[in-house]
Amino acid sequence: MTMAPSPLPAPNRRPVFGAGFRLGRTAVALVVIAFVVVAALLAPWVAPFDPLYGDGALRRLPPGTEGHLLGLDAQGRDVLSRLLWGARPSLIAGIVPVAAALAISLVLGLLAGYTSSFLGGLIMRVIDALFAFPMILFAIATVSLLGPGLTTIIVTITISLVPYMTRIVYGAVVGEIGKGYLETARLLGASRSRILFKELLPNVVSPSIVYATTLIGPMIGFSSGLSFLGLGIQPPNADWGRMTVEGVEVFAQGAPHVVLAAGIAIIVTSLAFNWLGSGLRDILDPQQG
Amino acid sequence: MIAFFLRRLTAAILVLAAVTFVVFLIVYLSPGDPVKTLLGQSATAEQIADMRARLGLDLPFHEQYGAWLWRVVHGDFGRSISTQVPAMSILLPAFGNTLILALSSLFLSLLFGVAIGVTSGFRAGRLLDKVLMFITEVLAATPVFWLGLILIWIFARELGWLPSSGMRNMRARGSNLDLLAHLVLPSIAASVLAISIIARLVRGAVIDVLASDYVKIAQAAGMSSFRIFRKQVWRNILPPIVSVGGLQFGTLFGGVIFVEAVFAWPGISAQLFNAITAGDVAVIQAGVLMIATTFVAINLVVDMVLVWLNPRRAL
Repeated sequence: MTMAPSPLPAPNRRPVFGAGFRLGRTAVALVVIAFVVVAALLAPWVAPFDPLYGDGALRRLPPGTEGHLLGLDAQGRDVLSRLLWGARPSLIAGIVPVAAALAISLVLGLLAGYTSSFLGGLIMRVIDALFAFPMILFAIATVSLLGPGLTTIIVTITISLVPYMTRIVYGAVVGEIGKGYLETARLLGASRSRILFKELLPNVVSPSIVYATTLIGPMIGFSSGLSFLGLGIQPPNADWGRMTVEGVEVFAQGAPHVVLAAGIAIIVTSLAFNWLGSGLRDILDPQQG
Repeated sequence: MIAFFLRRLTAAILVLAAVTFVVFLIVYLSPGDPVKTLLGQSATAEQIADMRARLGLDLPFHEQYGAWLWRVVHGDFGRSISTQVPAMSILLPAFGNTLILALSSLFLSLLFGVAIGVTSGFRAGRLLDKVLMFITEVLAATPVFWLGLILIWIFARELGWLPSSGMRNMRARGSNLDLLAHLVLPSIAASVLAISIIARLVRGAVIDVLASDYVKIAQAAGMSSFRIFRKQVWRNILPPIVSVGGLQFGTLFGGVIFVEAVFAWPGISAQLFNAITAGDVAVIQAGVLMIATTFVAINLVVDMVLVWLNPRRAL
């Protein structure tokens, strides 16, 4: 079998930047992520306006309009307020499915790597079959079952990530098998569940978390894409993808600020999570460099 | 090698069988009654039951699936429930358009991905390498649909160099130059993620080859960089390029859906979304099956080419 077809940027095998630069970058990433998370949590208090209230007289006004730092959208709603509120679904869509897929994959990967070869083979063949589905088809399938919305985004991304993550966990488990400590535990009469969850799991968790972190950024982008297509967050609420769609109206009228604000928020946040991921790899999984 | 081929082919067919089952199951479970959509709100219970029987919707699940699969295997994907046109005659032209876009994106991805990767690899650790890799990192974090909008803004609206949407200009019907102009922006948008993935992979492969003994010997013997590239590096980075190129082609096919929406490209995604909105079961099934089959076929071909390049892989 070939390697998994990844929709995601693979880790750079050969580091580009020196250790000092990477450490600094990780620190910047942490600050950015902390800022976005706090902004999302505090949105009801820090957002200057109601994100759903539109003032017809102020439609499409550019950034810097009095009281509206980032300007107003096609319906006269404050862009900064919508950006802050939009951070909530965007972060949830990036983090929740990755965490859920991580939990599912840890169980599947451990079972596949360290139980009967029949069960293991079965799990991995099903995983292989799931690779045949492009992620967007999961989205279409989920939408036709559940209708559009945040739940659809979460379910879609979780299902599509499980194959990729299970491969990673499975690889890590297979790499651990045959190491002394497992053999020792087995000879000491440890039960299978003890070996699986007390011995193997801790050693498999850190590469899995590193991989999971690198998925958050791309998934924030992907989920905003789903909202952009109309499969995700529904109006009048908005994540950053939905804001981009709504920005397209004013975009055509020569006011690009809504699209720019939403896009820059997506790029900066995803980049921060990507940098955090490579920083974590440096710390937790140094031999992967 | 024949055994490997047969094994992979069997696996691909099994995957496709599983795909047909899942596709049918999803549509079977999905809410909304196609018969009510078809007959409208005023239909009597009797008319509805009659129509259900005529469409075979009253049969148990396994019989419906069996009958559907039998028709699919024989190339009959059913008719659109709203327009009564065969699903395939709606989808095939759209699929062709999607394929044009995906192929031209693949071409750009390979061209720029390999060029950037080789440049960065030869200049590893230098400023140029750092700048190129930083750009690929930022591009990898940029959503495809957003990049599309920005490209339209700059190159279509502000500069007016290229068309912003569609596939052909009505007044320049049939002109290939016109098609090419319409292809440029969507292909760039669709290929950016693949470019950054391919560039990083190629960079790593180039660094590995340059660090190998035979390249060091060639360098010591005074062989020029260009000659080393042509004689040694190229051959060794080809397998990973084929591998990632094939895998990226599959990913491009998924990403193209976003690009098609931004650029109003008349591809398969527009048809698929229309079908979902209209609850048009036959078209959804055929469309999903078509994309999944393309995926499986691409992976199969990539595996074959890789084995052909390096027969040890078949073991």
